[in-house]
Amino acid sequence: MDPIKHLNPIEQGICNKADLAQIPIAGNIELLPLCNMDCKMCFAKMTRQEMEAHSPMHDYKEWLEIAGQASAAGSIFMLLTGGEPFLYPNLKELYFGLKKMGYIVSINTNGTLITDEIADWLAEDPPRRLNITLYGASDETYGRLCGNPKGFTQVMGAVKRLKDRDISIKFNCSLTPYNIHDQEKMYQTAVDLDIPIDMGFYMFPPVRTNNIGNEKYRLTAEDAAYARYRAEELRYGTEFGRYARYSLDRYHNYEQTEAYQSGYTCRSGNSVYWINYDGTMSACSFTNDYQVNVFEEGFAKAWGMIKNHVHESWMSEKCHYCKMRILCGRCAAAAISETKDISGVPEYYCKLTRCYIELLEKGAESDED
Amino acid sequence: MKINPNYIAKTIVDETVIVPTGKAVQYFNGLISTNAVAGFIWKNMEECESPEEMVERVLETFEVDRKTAEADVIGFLNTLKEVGMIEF
Repeated sequence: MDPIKHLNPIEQGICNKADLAQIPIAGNIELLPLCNMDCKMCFAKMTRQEMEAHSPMHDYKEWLEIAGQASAAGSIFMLLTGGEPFLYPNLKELYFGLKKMGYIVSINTNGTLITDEIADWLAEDPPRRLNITLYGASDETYGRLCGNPKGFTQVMGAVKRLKDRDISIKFNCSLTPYNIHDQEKMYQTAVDLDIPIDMGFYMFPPVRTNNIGNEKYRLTAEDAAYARYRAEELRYGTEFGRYARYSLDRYHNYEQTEAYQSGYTCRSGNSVYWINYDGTMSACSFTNDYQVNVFEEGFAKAWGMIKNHVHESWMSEKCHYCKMRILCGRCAAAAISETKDISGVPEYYCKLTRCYIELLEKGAESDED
Repeated sequence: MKINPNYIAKTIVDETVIVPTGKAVQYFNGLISTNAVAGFIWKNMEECESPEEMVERVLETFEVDRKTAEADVIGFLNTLKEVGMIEF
């Protein structure tokens, strides 16, 4: 998960420098595993009893101490996530503490708990962006997927409160068999509200003990490929045919020119880190093959261990030279969560990408007709 | 000269960046990048009592003629003052 999507060109340049220098410029803190909803496919959720048995939450002063250490190491972007962050005690104090340190803060939320009071304090010093995960386009879908039959109405209420206060919002949408029928309606909701939307067609298999097996609630590879294709059709509208032909040209003309080398192919572990609610730092939330406790080791040492591990990791050579790579989103997290091996080939993703290319070929053909 | 406390400077990969917070976010919610001279000026802002003193510091540190330094440094400081980032 990349907490620094949608950067402006100046920020992009600074983050690219951070990547090369392995400076931890952006972090995700998963404040708690608790949530007011109960989504079938969740990778993070614990009940309060499960959480207490595993590890208690850390209080906001402890997180501010870690954030101070991270800031000294070069961190500037921070994404607060969960669980549901608006259930975290003292979120307001943590948020303003991070702001005082000069962090550019974003928050991931399901958007169902944002009251006028919360919107008011957010508006005092707005986050870079509030990322609201949209799970459907009706209360019925929210009831079926998330166990919250009022969810959609609650989210729409929160959106109005936030927009009234000029707080930037983005929708992230996790497509599953339980909400795929709402894909177009979710897209249209975002268009009507003038809010950007990212439709997530791929879902990592959960890697944490409490959530293992929840991938049974994700789309089949074929359906995920169609969801990707459909999301792009919606996004590009009448220009989609040209987009499809452009994508296919890139695929047919692609040749790997870079040498096979160690390291991850994304920012994770290069300039981005993830810290779970229990204090374990990893490169990304799904790369659980190597974790270091940041409260025990301190931020600088923990980051040093993570980046060294990433630097010494070898992803699949087959994937490196695969022609589909140009259209495939596979990453270290997909390799580990799908195969339990950083050098493994995530076959689900191969199938997804193959199906997606077939759909593009058909789409481009029919557009020419 | 005084920096508006709503603007926080950080050093990222040998570059000084300025992050707006609080009310300043209403005008710009992102990173402000600086070049070497602008970063130097920002870091030395509160140690200088006047734009003229800043010109002297810039002349001591960078290879530049007085006429150019005066025009550029004072112009830059006036712009920062106009947008409320500093007071003098």
